[in-house]
This record gives sequence, C-alpha cells and structure tokens, in this order.
Amino acid sequence: MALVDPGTDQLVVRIVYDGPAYAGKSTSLRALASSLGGAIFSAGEADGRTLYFDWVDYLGGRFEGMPIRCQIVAVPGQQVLVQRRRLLLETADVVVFVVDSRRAALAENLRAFAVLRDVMRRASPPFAVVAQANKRDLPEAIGLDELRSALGDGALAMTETSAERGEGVRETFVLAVRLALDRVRELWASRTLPRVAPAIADGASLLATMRAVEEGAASTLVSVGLGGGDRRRPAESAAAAPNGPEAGAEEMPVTAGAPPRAPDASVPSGLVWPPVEGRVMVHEATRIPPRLERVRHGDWEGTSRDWHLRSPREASFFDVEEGRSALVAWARWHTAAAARLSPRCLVLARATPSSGPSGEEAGGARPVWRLWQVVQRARTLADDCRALFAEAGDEALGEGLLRVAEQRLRAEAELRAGGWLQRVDLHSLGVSPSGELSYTRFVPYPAVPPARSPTQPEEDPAGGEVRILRAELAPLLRHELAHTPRRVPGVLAALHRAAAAHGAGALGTVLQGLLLEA
Amino acid sequence: MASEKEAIAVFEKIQADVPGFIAASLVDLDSGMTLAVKTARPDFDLAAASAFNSEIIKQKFKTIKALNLKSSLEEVLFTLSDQIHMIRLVGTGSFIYLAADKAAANLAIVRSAVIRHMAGLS
Repeated sequence: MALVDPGTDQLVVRIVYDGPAYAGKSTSLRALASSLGGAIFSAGEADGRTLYFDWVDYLGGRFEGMPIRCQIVAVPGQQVLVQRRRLLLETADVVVFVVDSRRAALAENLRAFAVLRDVMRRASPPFAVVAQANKRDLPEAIGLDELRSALGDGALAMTETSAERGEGVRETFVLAVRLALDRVRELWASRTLPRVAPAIADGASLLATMRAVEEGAASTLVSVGLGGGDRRRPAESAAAAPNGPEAGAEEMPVTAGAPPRAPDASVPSGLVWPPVEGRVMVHEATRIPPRLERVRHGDWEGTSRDWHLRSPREASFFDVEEGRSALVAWARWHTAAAARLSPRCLVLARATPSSGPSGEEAGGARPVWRLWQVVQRARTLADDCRALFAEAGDEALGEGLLRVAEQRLRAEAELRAGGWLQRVDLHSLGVSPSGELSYTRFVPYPAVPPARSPTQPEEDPAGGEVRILRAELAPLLRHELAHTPRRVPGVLAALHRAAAAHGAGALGTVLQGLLLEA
Repeated sequence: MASEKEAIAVFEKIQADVPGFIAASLVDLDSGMTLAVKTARPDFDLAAASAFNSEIIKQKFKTIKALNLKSSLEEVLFTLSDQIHMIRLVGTGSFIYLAADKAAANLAIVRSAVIRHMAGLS
C-alpha cells in the first residue's frame, strides 16, 4: 500500500506485525513506541487480547528526498480473528512475523506462518518478511537454525528479540523499513508508486474502514450465501446455519414468545468458556445484536455476521450456580473434543424476563439464566464443492471432487470412530488451512456420546463409503450440474486423471458413477 | 552490529568525554532511520537530522564515484557558527552522528571521543 502523499510529500509505508497469539506482537509494538517516542493506539481489547489491531505512527528516515511515514500495525493473533488478520496483511509493504521461540509454541508458529504464506503468494509486488524470534531471554527458547528450519524457509531474515525487555525490537523495525523500501524501489522504478492522499491516515480511520469492510463483507456473504446470488436450494441454504443435528432440515419458528436477551461481552467472569478467547468470540458475535428466533424443539437461535448462536430449550436455569454447573459439564465435553470442533464458545447469560408467554419453560417459572453455544461460521466441504463448480476448470474440479470425497471419508473414520457425534456430513464438516477436519455445527446439548445408531457405517467399509457419497455428494452434484454450464464428459475425464495420479482408482470410479447418475 | 542498549552505552561514554554534547545517534544509512539515540536537548530534532544526514552521505558516495576515486569515506565534519557536527561511518551500512556545542568543545575533542569509543559499536 506504499504511496506518496502529495499533501505532505511524505512516503507512506505500512509495516505489519504478524504472528500467532501470545508471540509478543503487542508487546513489541509497545516497546517500539516507547523507543521511538510515539503513542500507541489499540483498537479494541478484551482481557488484554488484541481484537482489531495496535497502531503506531512514526515519521523518520528519508527516501529519495521524502520523509518516511511508517504506519506500524500489529494484527490480532487469535485463530477466530484470522479474517481480520488477513485483511491487514494484504495492506503490508513488509511483515515482521513475530515468532514465539519456545518449543511448545512451534505448532502455533507454523499454523500462523501458513496463513502468512498464503497471503504472500497473492501479493504483487511481493512483500518481504522478517522473522522476529521473540522471547530469546527464556531458557526454553530453541536455536535460530532450528526455528528457521521449522518455518521451512532457509532464506528468511531473522532477528532476535526480547520484546518484554525491549531488546532487539528497534533493530528489527529498521530492518523491516529497509525491506519495505526495496518494495518501494520496485514500484518507483516501474512508475507504479501511487501519488495519492492516504485513505487511512491514523488508527481511528483504519478501525472505521475495517468495520465498514467487515460489515460490507458480511452483507456479501449473506447475499451470495442466502440471497440473490445463491444458486443453492432453499433447504441447503437453511442448512448453511449449524442447526444440526439433521443436515438440510428446515427450521421454522414455533412460538411467538418474546426472545430472551442475547449474551454480550459484559458477561461476568466464570460464565464464559473458554475464559479469554470465549469473551472475544462473544464480543465479535454480538457486536451487531443477533435477531433471535424460536425454532423447532423450542430452542432459541440467532445469527450475527459470521456467527450463529443457539440456546437449547432445556438450557435455562433458575439460578446462576445451576447454570454454571451445566456450563462446566458441557465445557468438559468441548474440551475433550476441542481438536475436532470449529471455533466456538459457551456462555451463560442472564435472560431478560419477557412480557410474552414463557409458561412453557420448565416448571412454569420464569428462567433467569440461559446457556448459549456460539459457533463461528465456517466453510464446509459442501461449500468447497459449490466453489469448485463455480470457479474451477475441469482439471481442478476433478482434483477437488476427489479431495472432498477423501476428506469426507476420512472424517467418517476419524470423527465418528468414537461415536461421539450423532452425524457428520458434507454440510457439517470443514477443513482448516492446515488440513485438519473439524465439525462446524452446533453440538447437541447435553453432549453425550450416542448409542450405536442405524446411520452408523455398515460392516463392509467399501459399501459404507459408497452409501455415504451417494447420500451426500450425489444430490450436490445433481444440483450443481443442473445450474452450471459443465460438460460431464470433461469432468469425468479430469476425475479419471486425478484418481489415477493419486492412486485412488476405486474412489474415482465411485465418483464417476455418481456423476453419470446425476 | 551493536544493540540499541550497547549503542546508548557508547553514547553515554562519548557524552562524558565531550563537553557541550548535544546529541548522538546511530543511523541506518539506507533508510535514514535511527537505531539508537541519545540527546541532551529535547528541542534538537535528532530523527530529522539523522535522516537528512543519511542523504548527505549517499550524495557523497555519488560524488566519490563520479570522481572515480578509489578511496572510501570515513567521516564528515561540519563546522557551524555555534555547533560542530560529525558523521563517522560504522561498517558499510550505518553511521554515528554527533552534535556538540562549539563554545565548549572543538573538532579534536569530538573526533577523539568518537573514535575512541566507537569500537563498541562494531
């Protein structure tokens, strides 16, 4: 986003501090602000965690006779805010990737680096990255060579810091500026360095712009997902909300009783799980108050931007301790299953007494507290399928269908093996950027491993796989083929090639059969 | 290359040896950004001075190249009506910039102090 401001003749560059949560991004910015003599603007915090960004503005240095104005931004590191992080990374002229040097943090470092790499691939011209190996003062910090090797990039510029002590932070920043200037030189040489007043001049305007973009993006998601641009059938559109356990089931309001008060981020400590991230999620989910509706079974549900909320009918309590016990029990189940669940939290919130009929509640008494599950909207395998038909060429579609089918069948083996979920399907399964499968829908309350159900796979694994793909993938293929200008022979051939290349001949044959039936 | 803390420690030694010390900075030549600063006068805009001085050094490099000289630049001294400014290269990518009050110091004192203590910056 480098540009020359014609009003001040300053070169404006943006340095983005990226990295996983708790790596030391905000601490680095605070140390840098202190060293440079600047003020820090923190846009939104919850329990000391960055919600939007930290911002420092610094005027120093010169390039081709112009003073350099550095907009220094630290992104939020939490996984649930990854879209916000991407939004900021896409504006960077250079990125300082803050790495937690401890061995225990290696996995988180790699996950975060994968997202950065994805953004880097699309940047033009490319931006440089400085890896700031932080927390070097800790005894459990691993060697730089090992860190560099783990990140998988031997050419990565790496510095050592202890942001807590303010050591190495300024040197890293100056190195980052030099690398940003390399990018500027490229723009300068190609005469593509814009000469225009910056649309974002300070932290407040960045915050306003991000909110506007997010709200605009949410509208787009809604219109593409559930409105004018939606090519899905109404039942599938409804299934986009995690209103499980039945895939594709249409939910209808049952009663006209006044809804309870939705949870918000002011919920007292001890009533949110997980304790810190959960509050962040509630804050995000209720920034725009959700519209709550009573659905089948008498549950309350609502949607707000990228979040879905549900409070089961029976999850209401006369007093907070009773509700808290239920929260703890449900949280234990979530903790055990956390690795397989999409981002979500539980919250026990006070329900405002309504003026409408609430005699249908337990005991006829007016409940005071409600237990909510708040789930972040996640891209599912069904979404991936639809995107493939909409955007990919035949070869990519063949590869993609094979991949979706393999992921679905892997989920059947991994997620249902323990019997802890009643049902998984293409509409309830998602895949993270690192390839991990996750369940994206509401978890039933209370979450008790079900008895063996008739929907469990047959004894013959191959027969079960065909049954699953026929039941779930076939309707999707039928719909997409009916609504996209695809030539089936082309897709069949691409699928055949993909299956041969990946040694998945049997699966490829099944998928080809489904395409022909469609 | 010295850390910010090490550089400030060097500046403190220089300050002790130079009467009329005004300010000192360690500057990245390419960007003109300061890597470390020490100032005895808050009204002295050290960041701006350091940035402009980086351009002076770059221009001097161009002059040397234009003259086809085989020499390398070591230092630059400026004598103002009431101040002395000194720039001394540190390696190939950075320099020390020092300003002192001319009434209290002289070129020899400034130069001697910088050369004596700048080994701590390498």
